[in-house]
Amino acid sequence: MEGQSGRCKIVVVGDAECGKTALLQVFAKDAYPGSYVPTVFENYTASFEIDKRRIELNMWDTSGSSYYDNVRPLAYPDSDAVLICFDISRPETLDSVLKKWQGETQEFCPNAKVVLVGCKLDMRTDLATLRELSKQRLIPVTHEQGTVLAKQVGAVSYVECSSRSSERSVRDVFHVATVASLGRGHRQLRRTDSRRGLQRSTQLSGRPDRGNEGEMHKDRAKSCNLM
Amino acid sequence: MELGRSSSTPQEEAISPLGVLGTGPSSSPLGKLQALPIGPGAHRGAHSSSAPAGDSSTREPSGAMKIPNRDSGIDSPSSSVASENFPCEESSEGSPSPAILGLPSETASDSRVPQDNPQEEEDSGVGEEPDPKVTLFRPQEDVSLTQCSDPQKLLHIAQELLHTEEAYVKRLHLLDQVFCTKLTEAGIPLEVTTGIFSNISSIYRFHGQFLLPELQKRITEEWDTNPRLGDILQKLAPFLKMYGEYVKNFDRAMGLVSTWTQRSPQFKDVIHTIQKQEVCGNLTLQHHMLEPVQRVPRYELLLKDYLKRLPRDAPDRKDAERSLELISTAADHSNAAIRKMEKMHKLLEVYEQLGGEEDIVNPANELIKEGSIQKLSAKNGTTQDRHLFLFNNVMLYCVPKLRLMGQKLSVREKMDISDLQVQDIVKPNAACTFIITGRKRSLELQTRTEEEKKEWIQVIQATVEKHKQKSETFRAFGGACSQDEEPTLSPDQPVMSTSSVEPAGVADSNGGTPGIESRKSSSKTRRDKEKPGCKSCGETFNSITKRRYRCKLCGEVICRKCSEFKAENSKQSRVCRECFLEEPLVPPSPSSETPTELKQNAEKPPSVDPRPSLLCGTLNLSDDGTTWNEVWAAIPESDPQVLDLLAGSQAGRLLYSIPLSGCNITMPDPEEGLEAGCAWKLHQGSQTWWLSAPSTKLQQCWLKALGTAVHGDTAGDRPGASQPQAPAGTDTP
Repeated sequence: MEGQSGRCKIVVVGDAECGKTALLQVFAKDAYPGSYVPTVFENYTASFEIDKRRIELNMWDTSGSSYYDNVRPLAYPDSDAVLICFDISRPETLDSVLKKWQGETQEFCPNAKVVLVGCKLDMRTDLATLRELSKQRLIPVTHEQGTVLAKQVGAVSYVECSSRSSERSVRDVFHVATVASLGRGHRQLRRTDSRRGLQRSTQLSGRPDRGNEGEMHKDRAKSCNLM
Repeated sequence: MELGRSSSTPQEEAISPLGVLGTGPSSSPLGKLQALPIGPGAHRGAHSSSAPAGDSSTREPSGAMKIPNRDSGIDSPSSSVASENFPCEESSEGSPSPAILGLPSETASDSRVPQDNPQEEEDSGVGEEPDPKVTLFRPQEDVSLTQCSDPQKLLHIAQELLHTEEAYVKRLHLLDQVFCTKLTEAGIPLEVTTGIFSNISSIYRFHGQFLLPELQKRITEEWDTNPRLGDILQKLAPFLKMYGEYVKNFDRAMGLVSTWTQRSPQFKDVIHTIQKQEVCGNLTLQHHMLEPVQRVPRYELLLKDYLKRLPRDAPDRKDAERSLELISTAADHSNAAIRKMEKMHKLLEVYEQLGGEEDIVNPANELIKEGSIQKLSAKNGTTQDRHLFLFNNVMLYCVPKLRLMGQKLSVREKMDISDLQVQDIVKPNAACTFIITGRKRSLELQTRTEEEKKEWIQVIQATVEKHKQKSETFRAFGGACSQDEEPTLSPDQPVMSTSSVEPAGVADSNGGTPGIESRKSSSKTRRDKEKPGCKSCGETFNSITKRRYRCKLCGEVICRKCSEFKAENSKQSRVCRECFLEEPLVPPSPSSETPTELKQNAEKPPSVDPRPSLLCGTLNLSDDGTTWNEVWAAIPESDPQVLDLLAGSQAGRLLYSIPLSGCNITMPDPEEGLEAGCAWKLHQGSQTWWLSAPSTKLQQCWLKALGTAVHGDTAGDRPGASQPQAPAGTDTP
């Protein structure tokens, strides 16, 4: 059983009201949250499969409010991946990724893989949102901006999703995060047992490639969408 | 007195080694017993006299079950005191001390209940113990209920919370900083230590760095000025959900400890070495690991007790109630996490049964019901064995496979819950039947019993209903989004209303003055929009080579060529052929006409802007004194010798621009005057205009102004210019 299954802890952080809880609830509970209730601390569990390998996900939802800056780090230990979220319709939340979240995640879980997540993708083409932003002479965050910032903060990938209109994009987010964290597990396995490491490295060598191909494919698809 | 003091001294010493097997439990309660009462010597004597009885009662259960007793001893040192105090309470009911002592007893008794839940062994072990406790507990509860709320009692509960928190943090330190660290240093793999201790580090830091410091500060330093706990607990209670991870991992952790104790001598040595230390209280690692599992429910019980004694109007009540709610949520969270993991394992089992054909291992998927069922064949009515799996989003209809290994079922049909319908049917030749209808297929199924059939129908209907509700969560937000778009539509509505007002205005105008002029005006508007070609020559208009022009007399839309005819009174006025031909012939005396025409031509160009006016207002205009039309009349300042008549209103189209010099003003006949009211005539050459003012005063103003214009012009002219008036006057008759 242990050989077949894996464990993965994912922590979701980001500014308040940028879509973290909706992301997790749509993924784990298949339901979109109703009215907005600020999250303090929440824990979700889920299980799904990647390349015939069952992964048990342990997902932690945190508060974006600075009121909990002191106690939020309690969620970080032993994380395999951290999702830094921002709201595509609010460019200031993208700035916070660099000003606050990148530093915090680097400090408390330097070994975790970071994935930059652009939430509320459907708002990029929403007329009301565009009108509101134009009053402030702003535009929604572009895919290119997200990609550039992802490289800047050392994230393994940049993913966009819409919890409301595309459940598939939500699953893609966690798929990318899990694949990234599997890479980390891969290293650990090598250290512990050379024989098993060798065998699994042979098996796992294909998976990262597939993951990479998937990511490249997604990037291409999205660039095509932009055109 | 000396005897009493000397007896308390060794008891206090005995308190330190809590782990002492035989004498520890008995001595520590005695010590606390000595410390707690603050009564006269008689009370002390009473307590000491009853102590042996308590000891004996405590020893009996401990003799039968040593381990549970130790657990309870460690979890709540006051529990033994409670059991001993109960007889004291009986002996002295009136004393306030029993009520105070009853509190820890109540808490201790309640705190044991959670122990029953996590493990069956604990249940069987502690099964007998709670019964006498419960019996003892009820009278105490009654007594405590009768007691009125007391600040001192609240402080006591707060201190109980603080003391148990301090002891608990020590246990966490033992687990995280002693056991876990030592094992790591001994070279035990990280995945093993993580598997055993899970997130104990975070839990330890939460209590050690956040909860305990705040409780200490509040209860020891600020209680006199700020006697409340709710605000602290409300802020930090959500983080108790961290226990969910630890509790979920508990069984696995126990398995790992057992496995590695057998498998790794090094692991075993480290554990045993630490367990021998006094700080462990002679308890095993497993017992210490169990303590976090019991901690959250204990907060719940302590807080309930606190709320029970809190005055209704206390400022802390709202926060405390909210905190209790959050703590209950955290406690339920752990149980829910365990249930979810169990369901996930179930899902994996089903996945293996199906041989991995269907992708059912999905984060949101949940197995709701499964079972064997029989299908009624539509062909011959025979029954066939089938297996149903009902998930929260899909139903799988499977056929058994005759294999010993591996895949046991094959998916025959997959039905989405969103399309699924179930209905009960009654067949004369077959009982316990119902129909499941999907998008592609309909299945007639049969169960062994009527109850089983009802259960399937109920469960399926409930699942379908729940699925709809979940889908609604997305649509509801979609609806909210459409509401956001409505404001964009609302600006259109005012536009529509504005346009609707415009036709109303036109209608009002028509209704108000149904004269020839109004008909012409409305028809002109329509023709301007609808007419594709020139009325005279019929050629089609276009914006480049053939533009529209309007006849100044009849208002018809005509082209440039057809509008070359000029009205005699002005070069700039375009008229159509018909209107031009209708005009009267030139008077026979050319000498008199020529000077008049020249003067009119000279005066026309300046009269462009009618807004700055010497006099302006609404008048009624008529051609023959019978049919009237409302017009806006103005004498511009820039050219006081001209009268401008505009259609309808000040912003209307310019109908006439009449040069007043050379005009003649006369009053209508008495009969005509009566009909027209305050009216007068304006004569210019061959044309006559009937004008009417709303009131006599206005009429006089207009007559005065018009007279001034006419006379002023006459006075300014040469003597020769006065001659043209005479012919005009002659023409009138």
